[in-house]
Amino acid sequence: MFRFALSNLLNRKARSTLALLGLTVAIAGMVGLFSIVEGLDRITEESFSRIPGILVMQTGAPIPLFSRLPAEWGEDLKKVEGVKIVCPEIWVRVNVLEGKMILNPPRFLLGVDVELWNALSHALYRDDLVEGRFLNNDDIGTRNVVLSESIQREMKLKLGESFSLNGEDATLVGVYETGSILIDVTIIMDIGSVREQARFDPTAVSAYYVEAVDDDLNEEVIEDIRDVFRGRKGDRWVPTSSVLSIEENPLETMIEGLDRWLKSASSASPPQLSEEPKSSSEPLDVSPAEDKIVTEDDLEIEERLQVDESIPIDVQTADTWGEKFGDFMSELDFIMFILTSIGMTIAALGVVNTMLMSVSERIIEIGILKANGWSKKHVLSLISYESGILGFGGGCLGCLFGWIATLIVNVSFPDRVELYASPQLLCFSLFFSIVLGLLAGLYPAIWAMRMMPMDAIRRG
Amino acid sequence: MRFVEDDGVWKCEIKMNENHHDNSTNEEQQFLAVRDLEKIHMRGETQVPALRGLSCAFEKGSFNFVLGPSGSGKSTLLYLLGALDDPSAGEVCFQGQSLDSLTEPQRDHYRREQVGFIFQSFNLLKTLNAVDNVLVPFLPQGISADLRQRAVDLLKQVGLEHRLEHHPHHLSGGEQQRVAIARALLKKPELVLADEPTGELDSESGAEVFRYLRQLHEEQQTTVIVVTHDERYLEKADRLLHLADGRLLREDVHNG
Ligand SMILES: Nc1ncnc2c1ncn2[C@@H]1O[C@H](COP(=O)(O)OP(=O)(O)O)[C@@H](O)[C@H]1O
Ligand SMILES: [Mg+2]
Repeated sequence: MFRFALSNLLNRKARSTLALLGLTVAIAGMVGLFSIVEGLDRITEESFSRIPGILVMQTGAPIPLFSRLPAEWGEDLKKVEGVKIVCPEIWVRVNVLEGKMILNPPRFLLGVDVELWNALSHALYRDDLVEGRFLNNDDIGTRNVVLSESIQREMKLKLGESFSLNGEDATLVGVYETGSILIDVTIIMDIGSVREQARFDPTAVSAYYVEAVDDDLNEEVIEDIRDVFRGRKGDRWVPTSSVLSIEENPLETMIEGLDRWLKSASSASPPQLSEEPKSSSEPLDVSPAEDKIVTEDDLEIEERLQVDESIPIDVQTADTWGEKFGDFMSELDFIMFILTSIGMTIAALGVVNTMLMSVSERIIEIGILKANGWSKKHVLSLISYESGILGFGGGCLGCLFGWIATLIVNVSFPDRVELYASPQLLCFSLFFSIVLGLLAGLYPAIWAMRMMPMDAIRRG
Repeated sequence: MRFVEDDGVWKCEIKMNENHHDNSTNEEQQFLAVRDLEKIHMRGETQVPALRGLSCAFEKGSFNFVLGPSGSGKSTLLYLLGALDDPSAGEVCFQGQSLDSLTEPQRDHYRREQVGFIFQSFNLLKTLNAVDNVLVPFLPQGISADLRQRAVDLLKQVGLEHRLEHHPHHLSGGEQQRVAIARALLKKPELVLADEPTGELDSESGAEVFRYLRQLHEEQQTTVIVVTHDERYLEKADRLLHLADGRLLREDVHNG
């Protein structure tokens, strides 16, 4: 029976090839689309799950780069019960590296208090060192930097070498590698040196990274910090168009790119990537964790800013911050789902059409089989074998091509995107392909099987 | 079961042990019988009556010809005899069983094991080679080495030993029909139905086809019913049924 099915397929090369091709393209497309979502999900998850502490930013600021907080608030944070270390951070955009304008992927200069950073029990960058050393007390006041392996590779730098960073010399002393394209964009330097070079407001910092005495206390510490700062007067972060046009962050760049790509892909109405504005009548009830990352659209950012005005700071764990991004992802997931559904429908129609193309031939064949005493069950199982083989073959090829495509994309743009086709995605795609193949094959079969053999034979 | 003429109408009684007292010819008549058979085809919305109340019987081991002008319902009758179609009225009885009363598996069994059907247009499966085409009825059950050998032997018997692996489109019409005959013979059928088996063949191939049918009839006492236009193949003692307009016009025995 299986051999018969196979020989049916092999002896109808044109039809089988068309059906296989249709399935392959459909499944490869499906793998490709969903791997974008999965890749983003995975990057976010990986990126933020490695930061165990609490981020404190200016309310409304989407990322630390845009955030400004008074420098003396560090002392107040330190006094909150359960807080062990408060690390001030200054974030500056890197515009020029070795005389070259940096646009995409973006690079950021992070100024850290070296002594405090080294006192953290878990510290990003420091714990991910792969070469050289992390900044130590001797680097305070110097322009020694630690940067990621991908930046090092791009600039072809060796340890101890000097290079020009935003127009001033800097020296490489260490290289880290987290593997996350969201994190490996950072160059770390002593906070004083960054402040001096960027002429950063001496009374301000960008953000604070807070480590609690115990990670398990994070939630309580966050609540305590909010209580301390509730009602305190502070500036809200207000976007200016100049900030928005010049400053980009990797998330936004990626989202923007995706957005553009999606819009071009679905020439139909552009997908709604924006968050829904929250009701501002009960600001206290709105937990910042529920906020979502905003796109660069001014209007939407302004709507977002009407949230929780009573607390001038935005306190959350890095994980939660990652979840905000995850929420955005799920919206993206939904768009992907719609896009993929459209693609699937077209592909399914193509496959069904290919199968139906030969339906009169098929009906005669089924008539002959029935005239020779084949039962309905036998005819059905023959057709199922055939369509199953097609579905399985198309699914395998589709998964293979889709997967190879994600690898090629990942290798071609290592610092910009990371597509991920998970085993689950591949399994699901394969399953879907088999189901699609079976449905397409069984439809004409069930039709033909209801006919008497004579009608079927005469029909051709 | 028996056939009795009752007011000029043949009746098919499905009571097996009622007719032990009947004479032997009556016993043989019960092999295959048709009673008041009607078939109306639908051509779009219009009804096309192909058979209008036909009754007749076929003896076991007989060689029968169904003759008649085109459109007289010969093919329709044959398809009904082979359970490849359902009658609109009346019934076909095979060995006392009305085909209508058979369950789906019993019908499949009847088509697979008891009837060998030979079509005018051969109806081979394009994707299978000659041997597999012969084996088609038994493919779902799985093919034993013995059965495969029998298929090869049958193909040799019909002179196709050098065509075993060929696909239908590489075979001539005569060769295709011989494959179809081998397919019908593999099951050692009690009944062979052939609908204009020589209709698409040259006269030499046609004569060959009839040679195999005669041989089968003689060696295995198979009942053969052939629809044909061509009176060249008639032989002495063949039974002839003349159809016209969906009715049995007359039946007689060919006398050379
Ligand atoms: N499947 C069918 N649909 C419609 N009409 C049919 C069908 N089969 C046969 N007929 C009609 O029934 C009549 C008898 O056909 P058929 O049994 O093929 O006659 P024969 O074989 O004697 O030429 C013809 O008029 C034919 O057109
Ligand atoms: Mg005919």
